[in-house]
Amino acid sequence: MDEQTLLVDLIGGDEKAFCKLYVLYKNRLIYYILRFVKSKDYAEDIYQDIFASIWKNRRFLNPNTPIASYLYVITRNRVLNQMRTLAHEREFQNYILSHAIDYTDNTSETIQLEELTALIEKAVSRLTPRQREVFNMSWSEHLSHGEIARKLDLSIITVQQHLSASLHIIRDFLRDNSYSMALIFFLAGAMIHQ
Amino acid sequence: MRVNKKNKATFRKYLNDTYTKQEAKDSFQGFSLKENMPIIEELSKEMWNDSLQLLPEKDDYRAYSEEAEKILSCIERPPRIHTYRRLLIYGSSLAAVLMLAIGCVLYLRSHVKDQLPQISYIQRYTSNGETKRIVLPDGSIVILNSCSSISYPAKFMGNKRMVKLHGEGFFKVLHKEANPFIVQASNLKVCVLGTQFDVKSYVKDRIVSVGVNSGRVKVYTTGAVVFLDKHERIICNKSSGELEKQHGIPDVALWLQGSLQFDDTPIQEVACELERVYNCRIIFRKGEAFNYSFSGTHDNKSLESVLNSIKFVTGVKYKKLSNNIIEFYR
Repeated sequence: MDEQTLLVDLIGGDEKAFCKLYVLYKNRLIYYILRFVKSKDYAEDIYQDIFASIWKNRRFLNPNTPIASYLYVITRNRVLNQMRTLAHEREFQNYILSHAIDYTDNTSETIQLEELTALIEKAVSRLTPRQREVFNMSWSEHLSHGEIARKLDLSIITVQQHLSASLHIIRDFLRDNSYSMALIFFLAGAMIHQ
Repeated sequence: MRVNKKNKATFRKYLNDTYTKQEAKDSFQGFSLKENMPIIEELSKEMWNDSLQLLPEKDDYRAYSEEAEKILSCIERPPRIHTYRRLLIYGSSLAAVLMLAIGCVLYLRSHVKDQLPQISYIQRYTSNGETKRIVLPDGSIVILNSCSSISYPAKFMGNKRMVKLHGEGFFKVLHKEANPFIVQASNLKVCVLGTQFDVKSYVKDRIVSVGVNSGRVKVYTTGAVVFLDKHERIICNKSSGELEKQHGIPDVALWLQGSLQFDDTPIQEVACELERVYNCRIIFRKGEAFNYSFSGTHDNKSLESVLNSIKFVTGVKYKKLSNNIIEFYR
């Protein structure tokens, strides 16, 4: 069924059209929202809020605007507004920080950049060749998921899976190894100060 | 120009999940700055285009359609059709549970060797103005308040009994020494052995709470683990991260008797609660500020009497527009 017809039906109050659109766009929008909020629960809540609001305001939708661009604008604005609030909430901050690549339980400890790069190089040797490829493209070349997917001819989901697995392995490695490194740097620093 | 490049790289790493703690902190600040908008827009467009290839999978259709229907029922349903739908949903969910049970048995029979049996999850919902009493697979009971949902496995496997809650539910858990019962709400986890307690965690509300009527529970929330005994309640403010423990609460789930209780509650949240319980819609007149808090207990009263009470205490007046919509103004 053509998307514009769905939109016209939705404006007319057709509940089936609403459900169809919800199903059609969920995976795409959740992917997009997740990039910002990182938590599946938050993303689901935002997605459902967006569609609840679409239903409530269906009379004001323009039947000539492509539904995709309409959804883009609503979602982007919602997510960015949410980010502005969430970014100041301690609970959200802690959640995001706990998934950082250099996360340690000790909040005052930060791994210095040179050490971090060295440790990551070591950690990367533990990845499978494919994971290493994907991770390096993201970490060193700053490529987006889509760019990596196109370059390696993979689906975005596969890219995400490889990245997620890589990050897990690297985070664990850093956590197990950075403590001893930090200790050495601290001692070295202490000696220099003398 | 160089600053822009660095900003873009930082945001890129945040969005990619390959960020360091410092980059995350920089991003938190960065989202609020006007000058970053063009960069964020550029990255945003890119991610949107990447996302367009993600179409629904075969298994998604049924689950997502149910979610969509739930949204519709939470917003509006004329009473007549609602009862019919309720019967339909109840009837079909019974059938669904039966089908799941049969499906489980067949699956186990044919794939015994090295595959773990798929656990089927049951989801139950309530819409505005509705409460529902549900018996869980182990015999424990949960009473769901309006606009809530609970998800649990058809059978509790392993030693943990885990359920997922959105909204509010009052739990009566059967005591089982070796099997802790765990309620997972979006930002907290409640762990019990056998007891009666209430968990309130609505997405729209700023405050989430857990209260105990009898027994003892352990609550895990960000940055804290709290034990609650009988007649104690913990209140968590999601935006400030503050925790407050209250004692001597004779009944932590007054809503079970149809009572509404507000304790220095901001009027916006009072409105949310009224919407859920009375199945109405409350809007605040544009251009006016509503910095009011409201306290009070109302037993099974009509919506009008609660609204009049609000007017008496805070001075906020109300006007009934068409279609069950109420407007607050000063």
